[in-house]
Amino acid sequence: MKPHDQLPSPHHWLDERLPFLKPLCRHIVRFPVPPVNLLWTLGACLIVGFALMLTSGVFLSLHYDSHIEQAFASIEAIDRRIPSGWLLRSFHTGGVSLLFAALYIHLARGLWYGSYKAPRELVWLSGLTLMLLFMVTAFAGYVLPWGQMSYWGATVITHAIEAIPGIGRPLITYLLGENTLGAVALHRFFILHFALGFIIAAIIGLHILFLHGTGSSNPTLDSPHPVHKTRPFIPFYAFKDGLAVCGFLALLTGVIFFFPALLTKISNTIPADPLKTPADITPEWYLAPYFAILRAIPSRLGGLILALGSVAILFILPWLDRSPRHNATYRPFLRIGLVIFFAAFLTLTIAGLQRVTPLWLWLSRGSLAVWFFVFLVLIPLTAYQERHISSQKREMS
Amino acid sequence: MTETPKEKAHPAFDDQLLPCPTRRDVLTTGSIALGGAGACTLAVPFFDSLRQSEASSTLQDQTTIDVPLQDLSPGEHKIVVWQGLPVAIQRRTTGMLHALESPALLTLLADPQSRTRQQPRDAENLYRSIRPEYGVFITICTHLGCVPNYQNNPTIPASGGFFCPCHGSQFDGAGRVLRNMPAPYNLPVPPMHFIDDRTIRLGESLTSPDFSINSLQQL
Amino acid sequence: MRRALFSLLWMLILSISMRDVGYAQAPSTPPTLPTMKPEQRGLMVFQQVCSSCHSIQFVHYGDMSALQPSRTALKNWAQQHHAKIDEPIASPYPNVAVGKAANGGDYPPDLSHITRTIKGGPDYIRNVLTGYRPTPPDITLAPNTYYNPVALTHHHHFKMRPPLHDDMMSFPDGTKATIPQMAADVTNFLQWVDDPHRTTRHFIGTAVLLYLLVFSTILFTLWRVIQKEEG
Repeated sequence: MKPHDQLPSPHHWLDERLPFLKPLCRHIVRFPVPPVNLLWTLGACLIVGFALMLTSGVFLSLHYDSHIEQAFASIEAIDRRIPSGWLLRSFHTGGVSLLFAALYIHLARGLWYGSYKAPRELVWLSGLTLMLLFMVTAFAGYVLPWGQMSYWGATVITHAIEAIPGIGRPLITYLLGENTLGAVALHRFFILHFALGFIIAAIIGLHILFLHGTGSSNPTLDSPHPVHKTRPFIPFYAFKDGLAVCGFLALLTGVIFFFPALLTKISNTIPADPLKTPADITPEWYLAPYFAILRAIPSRLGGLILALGSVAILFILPWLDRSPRHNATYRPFLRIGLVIFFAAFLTLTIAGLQRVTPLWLWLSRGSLAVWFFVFLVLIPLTAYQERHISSQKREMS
Repeated sequence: MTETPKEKAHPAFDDQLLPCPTRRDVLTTGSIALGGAGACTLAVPFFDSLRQSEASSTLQDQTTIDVPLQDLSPGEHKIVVWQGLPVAIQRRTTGMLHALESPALLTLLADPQSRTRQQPRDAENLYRSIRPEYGVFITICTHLGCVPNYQNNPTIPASGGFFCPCHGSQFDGAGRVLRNMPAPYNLPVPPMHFIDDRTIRLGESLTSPDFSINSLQQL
Repeated sequence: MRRALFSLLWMLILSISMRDVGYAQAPSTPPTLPTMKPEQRGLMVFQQVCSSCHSIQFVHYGDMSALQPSRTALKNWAQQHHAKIDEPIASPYPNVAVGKAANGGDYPPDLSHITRTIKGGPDYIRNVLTGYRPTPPDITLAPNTYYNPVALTHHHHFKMRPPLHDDMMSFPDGTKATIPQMAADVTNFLQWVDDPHRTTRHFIGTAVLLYLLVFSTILFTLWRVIQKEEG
């Protein structure tokens, strides 16, 4: 018999073939995390939430039928007679709202603590890309049940894209595969929704990769008493993340099992009828801000440009804000600016869910102005002033 | 070595062998176990959704169909579909019946006496049929489920016969498989009976009423 | 303090789950008679009354097995409507035009989600079914319309014939088939049709919340231990 230490250990076997595995594990275990607060656990919540969406989506797609005549009935079949189908579907339809809520707070945290700044631009850009893909995926997914809200939501958005001068109409016909929203378009929406799930999964991988390149941002950095001490990710932060995920799942459970009506639109329990627009037509809350922007601008093209522009300015934010400071808590002007921006975003969300009244129209216009003012005027000016101050300090010392 | 035999603890209580787990160890193990259990429970509805739903299982109910036979002249055959399965009905000539009885053929067969339960009791005979004149078989090869064609092999007595195109299994006119073929069993005979001289009812056996496609050794 | 918080949460969760049990209970009946849930009596009302005009097109006959365990009974019911057990409970009318013609110009709506989609919800349905009154002398009704003050809040002309009459059927559990009783039962049934997994959903939700409570308590304790040990 061979001596004990000559037996090939399974560890050794893998290490020889995947030599990067051990350093990778060591990197994850020892990944130094600065003293971050609870807001930094939302990333873990998003990963778990997205994994739940992806898995439930794959299993739901086994029962969904994208033929225009059967789509609605297949959703009803999932809800009524596929074993556990209603449970999987409630994960999927409830999960999206919680996911967007976590995503928006995650983003707001990045804004507040300057997580978009050098050297984390790639993390920020990949995150914004993820947000855009989430919105497209959620929109495509919402069309699939082919209920009243699905149909009319899709109709409104396709008409918004139609506003692009010159190419709008042919582009929409090309994308839908026919002149009107119909059988070909529904199948395309299904494939788009399904494929985007996996594309998002890949970009989440990139997002995490970029994060691990630079490490998490530090919320104490600009404070009078910055803490530079880091702890390894495992076990302390892993368990903290686990705790937050529990809370996230409890919230999800509470909503989907006890208050599902909060997240489902009544009109989407009625099959699509191209001859009758439902009276209560509103977008899902997570798309409501952009819908409010589209609605607030009298020109179709203008609305589209401003809705896209409002997201686009987030992409150039790392270059708009060249201040050496990160944390909005210690940047008085930015602090006020961001609080106003958050309020404007909330106002737009609420406005998008209301019937059009002059009040809401003007509130959305005001909020939109605030949005652009904060990012295009306030932030560059504050950054300029703060750069100036810090260069003065450097000269003095 | 100063220990005295009196002080030596029983090995089971030796702290060195089994160090007492700390509070942290217990909590870590507990949380990992509980989290794993939760993840496994979460998987239940996902796999549950793959189960056949009750509504579609009603399609499996035993159904019968009546097949008229007057359009078959001796030597002809036809294929009908019963419960989604192809069923070949052949009307035999006297020549085919003689061939089925011939010892030259029986020595070539894997199961000439139909001992394997591939037919209801009333078809456990040389012709594997209730009335020798009519042979009725589910033409699904017992090897890997292809559908054998009606085809005579010139090297064996002309009893009528079935040949599977997938892996070359040869069956005789009574659906019995030849020796050393990929197919292990004879072609199944469905439960059936004659309503009158010109009509058979598939799906219902008079001598063994419990016989269904689930009773077959291999379908 | 933490203990008090936990017990409060427990009570909340239990009270939510108990509410379901109460919802599913039938009124007390003599021991010799079978007990029936309101939804089950409501199914009888639907089978004998509503289904002669209304469809539940997204529900199959077989889906009723939760309320009617006998498959044969469901098969027979489906057969009466020339359908199989795995086919939808379709409208008795061959098309919309015929349905309208038979009901004075209004098509009887599908009932798959009626308690959710109708303004006023289940209360409205219950009140309409019990809301028929003799026509007051100062009102002249259009042909094929019926006087129902509750329904007139939604319609100018209400064209559903009064569907329920006292003692028009007999329930196996001995419940007296009065109009308010049948109206309440069939409303319960329609709520079940709209949301058939309500009871299961609340049960699973409670279990999941309890699990998460225990799991997060352990995680929290562990997190505190690690924090203390590692400073």
